[in-house]
Amino acid sequence: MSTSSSLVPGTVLKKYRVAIRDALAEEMTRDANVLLMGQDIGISNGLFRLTEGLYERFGPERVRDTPISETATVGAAIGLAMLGFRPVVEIAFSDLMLTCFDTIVNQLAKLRWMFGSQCPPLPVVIRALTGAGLGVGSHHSQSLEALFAHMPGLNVLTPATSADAAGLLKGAIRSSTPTIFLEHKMLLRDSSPVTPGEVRQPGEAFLTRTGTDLTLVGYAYTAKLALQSAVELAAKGIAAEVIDLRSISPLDTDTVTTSVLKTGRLLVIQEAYKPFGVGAEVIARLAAKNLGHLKAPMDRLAVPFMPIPASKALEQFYLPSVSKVTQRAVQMMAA
Amino acid sequence: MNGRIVDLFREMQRIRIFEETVIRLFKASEFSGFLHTGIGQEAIAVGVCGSLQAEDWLTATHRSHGHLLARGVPMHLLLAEIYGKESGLCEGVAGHVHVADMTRRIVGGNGVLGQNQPIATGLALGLRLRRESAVVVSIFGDGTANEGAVHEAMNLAAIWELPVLFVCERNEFSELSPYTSQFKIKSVADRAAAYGFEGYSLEGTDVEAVGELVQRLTSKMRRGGGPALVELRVVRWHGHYEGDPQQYRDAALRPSADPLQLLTESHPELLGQEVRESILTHAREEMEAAIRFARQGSHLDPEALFARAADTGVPP
Repeated sequence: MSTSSSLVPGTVLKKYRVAIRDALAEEMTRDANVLLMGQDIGISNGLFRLTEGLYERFGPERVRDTPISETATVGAAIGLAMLGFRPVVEIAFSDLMLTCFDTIVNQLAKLRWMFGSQCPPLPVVIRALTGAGLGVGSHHSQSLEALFAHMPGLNVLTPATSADAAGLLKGAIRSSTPTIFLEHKMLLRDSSPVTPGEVRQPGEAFLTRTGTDLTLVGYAYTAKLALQSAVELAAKGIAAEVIDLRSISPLDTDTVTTSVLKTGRLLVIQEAYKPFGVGAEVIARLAAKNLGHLKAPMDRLAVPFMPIPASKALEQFYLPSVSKVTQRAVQMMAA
Repeated sequence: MNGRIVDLFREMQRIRIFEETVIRLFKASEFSGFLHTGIGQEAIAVGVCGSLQAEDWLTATHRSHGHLLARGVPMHLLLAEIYGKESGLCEGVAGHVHVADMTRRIVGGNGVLGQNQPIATGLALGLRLRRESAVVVSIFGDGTANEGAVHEAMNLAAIWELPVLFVCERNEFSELSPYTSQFKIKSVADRAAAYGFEGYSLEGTDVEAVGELVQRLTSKMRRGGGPALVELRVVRWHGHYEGDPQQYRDAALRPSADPLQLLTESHPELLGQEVRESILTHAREEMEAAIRFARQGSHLDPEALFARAADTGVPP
C-alpha cells in the first residue's frame, strides 16, 4: 500500500495525456532499445496526440507508423523483444486488441514460459485507450481488463492519475513481464502532480482517501468517481475510504482487506461487465479470508450485461456515475 | 561439391530415420500427445534450413522435426522434448508441436497457425535495426497461408523491406482438406505479387534446386533486399497427424517422389550402395542413442513449474 504523497520539489502539474507522452520520451532517451509502434503515431502524433512530438525527436526508426494490422504489429513486437528491444505498441482502442488477442495471450504471454530460460524476457508494452464516455458506441468504449487479467503472463495496469500514468508506464517498459497498459479516455485531459523520474511498480493499490464507514474500490475512471462520491457522502455524514487499485494483475487485495476490516462494507465500482470481472475477483479473495462479521454484503457496481450504446443519453444511463455510487453507498449504509 | 551432395543425403537420411522411428515409438505409446511428421518432405527441410548461416533465424511449423534437425539440433535433445523429459530442448514444457531451440535461433513450431509469421517479421526488423546482415526464414504450410496473420505479416515485411524469406511448404493438404478445396489460385506463390515482392514455385523434392534458390534469395536479402515468397511443392506422405484415417484422400493423388532416391539417381557415382549404407548405419546409431537418452531422462519436478513461472515474469 502507498499513501498519498505531498508535493515534493520538482513536482509539476501535468495532464494525463502529457504524462504518458513524457514518460515515453524519458524511457526512449534512457534506453535506445525502446521503440514505439502503432497506427498513425508518427507524423500524425496518434489519434489522441499521445505521442505528440516524439516522431520529430526520435525519428521514423523508433517511432514507427504501422499499417492497420494489429496482429502483425504485436507479433513483430515479440520478434523485436526476442532480439533485446523493448517495444511499446499503441493500439488506439482496447476493443481492437481482440483482433490480436491470440498474439497477446497465446504468444506474448506464453512463449517464454513454454520455451524456458533459452528465451529472453519479452518486455512488450501494449498501450490502448479504454473505457466509455465519448459516445462512440460498442466497438470503441469497452473495459476489457478482466479478459487480460484472466491470463497468466501479463501485467494489466489501469492508471487513474498522471503520476500513475507516468510512473507505471516507465515501470512497465523496464519490466521483464509483458504489460497491457490501459489509458482511460475520460482522464486524458485531467491534470495532477507528477514527479519527474519517478518509476512505479505494479501490484500496489493506493489509498486515496481515508474513512471509517465503507470502502469504495475503483480503478481508472471509477477511481475518480469513487473519490467524487466520497465528497458527496461526507456531506451526508458518511465517511468513505477510497482505494484506487491501479494494477489489475498483479492485484493487491491486502490494501482492500485492511480497509474492509476497518469499515465492514465494500463496494467495487467498475465500468466493465459484472460477471467474472475485477469486482468478482476482489470480493472472492476477500470472501476467502476470515473478515468476521461484515456490516453489509460486499457488492459490485458495474454496467448492465449488454454492449455499450452510442447515444450520449443512453451511454449516461448505462455507465456508473457519481450519483449512482453515492446512492448505492447510502443503501449499503442503511442495510 | 562432392562432399556437399553426400552431406545433403546424410541430413535427409537422419530426418527420415528420425521420422520413421518416432512413428514407431508413438504407436508403441512411448510418449503422449499429437504427432505430425514431415516424412517425405526431407528435401525442403535440408534444402532450406541447410542453406542458412549460423546468425540467421528460423521459424518452423507444427511439422518441424526435419527443420530442427537440418538446422543442427541434435536428435537426442529433440526426442527428449517429444518424450516430455526435463532433458528436452524446452524441459518437456513446450512439447512436440511448439518445440524451440533459441540458442540455435529457432523460434519453434507454433500451436496457432500463422502466428509465427508476424514474429518472423519482427525478428527481421530487429536485425535490420541492428545493421546485421542475417536473414529470417519463416516456414509454413499451404493451410497456414490462409490465416489472416500471414497476410498482415507479408504486407508489413513488404512495406518495411525486411529480410524475411517466406517458405510455403505446400504438401497439398490444409490439415484434412485438399488444396483445391481451399484455393482458387494455382500457386500460393501467386500471392507475392499482391504484396509487391517476388514469388517462386518449384518441386520440393529436389534438395539441390531448393538449396540453390534459397541461397540466391537470401544472398540478395543479406545485401539489403526485401522479402520473397517461395512455394515448395510436395504431396504429404502421411496423414495430418499419425493415426489420421485420411478418408479425405483422393487415391489418384500419389505421395510425392522420395527425395533421397531422387538425389541418389542424380549422383550415382557419389551415392553408391556402400556410401548410403554407411550413412544409414550412422543415422540408426545416432537414433538409438537418442532413444536411450530420452528414455533415461526424468520429468521436470512439477514444483519447478512455479519457479519457471516466476522466472518468466508471470504475476502471482
